[in-house]
Amino acid sequence: MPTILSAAASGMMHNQSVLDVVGNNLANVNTAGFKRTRALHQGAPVPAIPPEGGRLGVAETTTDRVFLGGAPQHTDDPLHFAITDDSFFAVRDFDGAVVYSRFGGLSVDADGNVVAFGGRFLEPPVTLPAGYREPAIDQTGRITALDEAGERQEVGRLTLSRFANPQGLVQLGDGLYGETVNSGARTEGVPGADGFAAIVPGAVEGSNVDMAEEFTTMIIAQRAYQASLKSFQVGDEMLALATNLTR
Amino acid sequence: MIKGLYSAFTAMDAAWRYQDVLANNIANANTAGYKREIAAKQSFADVLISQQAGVPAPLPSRIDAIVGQIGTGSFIAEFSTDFSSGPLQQTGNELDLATDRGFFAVEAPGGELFYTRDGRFGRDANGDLVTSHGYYVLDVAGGRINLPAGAVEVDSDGVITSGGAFVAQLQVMDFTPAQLTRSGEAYFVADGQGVPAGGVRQGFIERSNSNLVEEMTSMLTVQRAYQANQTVLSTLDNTLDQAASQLGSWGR
Repeated sequence: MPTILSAAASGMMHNQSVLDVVGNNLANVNTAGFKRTRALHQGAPVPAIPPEGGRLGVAETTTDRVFLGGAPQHTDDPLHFAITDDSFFAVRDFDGAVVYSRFGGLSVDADGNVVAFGGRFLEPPVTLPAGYREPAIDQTGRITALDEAGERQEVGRLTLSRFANPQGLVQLGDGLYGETVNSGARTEGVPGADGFAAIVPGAVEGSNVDMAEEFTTMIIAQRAYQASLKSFQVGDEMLALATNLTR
Repeated sequence: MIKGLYSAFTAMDAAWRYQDVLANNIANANTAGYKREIAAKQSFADVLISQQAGVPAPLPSRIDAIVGQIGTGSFIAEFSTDFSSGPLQQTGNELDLATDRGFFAVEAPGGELFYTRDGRFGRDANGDLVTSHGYYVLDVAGGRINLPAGAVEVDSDGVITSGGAFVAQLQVMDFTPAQLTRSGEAYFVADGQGVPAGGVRQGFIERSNSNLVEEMTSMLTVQRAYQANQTVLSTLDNTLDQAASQLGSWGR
């Protein structure tokens, strides 16, 4: 079978993958802490191509997460914070593993533990002693609360982690990322020092989906899909002519 | 057999091969760094038809007598790569690179060298600069580039700095089209020495240089040419059929 059909079919399939990614991004345009995915068609290097062969359309669609920051959205909750650079903070998942997140919507549970989304403890854990109230976090990650006498005391410190290759982190759902072999070396520090940027208290990081860009990508993918579809139809018509060459 | 059959056949064969190239160009309309293929048309030299007939001795055993000439139509001589630059898309990612001239040098794990305009690079687990397949991007000395953690800047000569400190200089080489052989949609293998080139831009990716309008119109034109030749072939087949079965038959 001529490769025109394979090439056209691969064009359609890969543009469909791009549309899938765009759909997911657009659905999460308001999800706090969401990092958009970008899909890109790429060629693959092959060692040797025969002169008349090898034209099989798109080799692959690669996706990577764009970790450029979303704009902080003010929530006026003193325990919320937004990370402004490409780092993460650690939480302990329910199965005991340490995972990383960017959604800084912290709260305090009934026992006074400072918890992140879903009730997961911060890592290292921070607990408010009994009787302390009005917890807050500041720009350098210090978690403070008012004690019984009304004095603001420090009860813990938030630490941030940065990875050599954030693309290598595995996505676990709920905005959590897991460390893998591919994510490389991890460096830890406090906000505002050791190369980490200060956090913004009273805000959470918004989604970094840019609707204009997503719609543009969607239109381009749609038209490319149509063009590949047309080339598939042309190939099909030519094949039909070939099979009807003689009666 | 009828000469026209061969003319029509070569045209249909050429149309198939051309459509393969066009379909590939259309499918890769959004592939980063893709360089499209274009066709160069050329006519066959007119073919001499000679008669080879046995002759009695003492003449030589065979005489080549020129009977006539036919043209066998035009055919696609070869496909060449169009190396014009595709449009640059600004992405803002610090490891997305594009060049105005020349190609980036990448090394496969087996040691083969490829050259590409596909500048979507990233870090691997060790912090080396790699392509999305894990092929290492090379510096001017042909070695791998290890990036420190944190932001890096790349200037237009390909010099990578991090916080003002020099890290490495990217190898960007330009070649003449004759030196490059296609090796995948966006990759090339080079023969011989290249010339260092510049014009590196950080935060941009070069898109495909497929011209969708041109490819689609060529595709439709070729399809109609194919259809016309198919009709010629059918008609000739009909003629042959009549010659074989009806000529010289008695009666009606």
